Amino acid sequence: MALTMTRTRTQTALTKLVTMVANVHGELAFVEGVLLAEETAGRRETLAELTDEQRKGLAARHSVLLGQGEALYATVRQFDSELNPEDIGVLDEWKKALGRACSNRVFQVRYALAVDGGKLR
Amino acid sequence: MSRTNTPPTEKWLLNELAAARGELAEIERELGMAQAAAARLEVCLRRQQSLCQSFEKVLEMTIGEAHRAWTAQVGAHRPYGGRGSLRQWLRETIQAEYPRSLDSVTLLDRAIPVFGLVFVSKADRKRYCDNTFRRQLASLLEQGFVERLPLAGRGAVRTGWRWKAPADLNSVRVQAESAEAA
Repeated sequence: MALTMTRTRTQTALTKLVTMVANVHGELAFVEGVLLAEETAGRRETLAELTDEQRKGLAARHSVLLGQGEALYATVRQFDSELNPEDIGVLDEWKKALGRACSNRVFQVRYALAVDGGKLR
Repeated sequence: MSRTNTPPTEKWLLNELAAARGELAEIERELGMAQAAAARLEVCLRRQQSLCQSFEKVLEMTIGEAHRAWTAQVGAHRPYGGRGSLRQWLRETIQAEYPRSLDSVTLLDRAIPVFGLVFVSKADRKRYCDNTFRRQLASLLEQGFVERLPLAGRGAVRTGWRWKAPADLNSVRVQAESAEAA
């Protein structure tokens, strides 16, 4: 791919970046929800059984998502300094990579199995 | 009036010492400025490094590791000192001249020393004026900051660019005065 010497900002690029931020927000909310439920004894019955390995994987994934969020925030601010990326909402398109819709419990297990060293397989 | 008699060697030494101290003070002052500039550059460096890392991370999320073979380094020049600086300067210059108007040739003549613009030929200058300079003026016109007026004079009709002040009694008065003067 030849680089074109242009710094033109397009709506397409902005939409893509904002969508990525929203998906990271969505995934972060999900992971934090699972980790919080893990810590709260009374809510553990909402989860499927997770192994220690899977819990550590989720914690690593949480760190990776925070890093991705920071990088995306810096990118969006560089794109347009008047935008506040923290105001961007939440999307669940990230779930599509993990198969068909299913119950929360099944999805949590599927997600925990897919996490490997902070990345999603 | 008494006259002191300083031996020439001492006189020379005293004078040289004073000059050397003056040089030292100047060097210390320049060193202080250079250190302050270095500290500022250090902050800019860390900020740019962080920005580069953010871009690399986001590129990795979008196109994966393959981007590492593509990315290059370019001297992203900022000929006007930053994004939007030329347009901002045009706005301020035209606003300062209100209620007078200025044509694009006069504006370009004023912009050349401000931004250090260099043209290799008349054609180069014309190309710049038509493609870049007038484009910025057209943007200001679209945004409603300036208005276009015909300039009176012999020969071809020239266009003047004038600040479009928000409608209020004061501006109406100024316009009336300038119309009377013309």
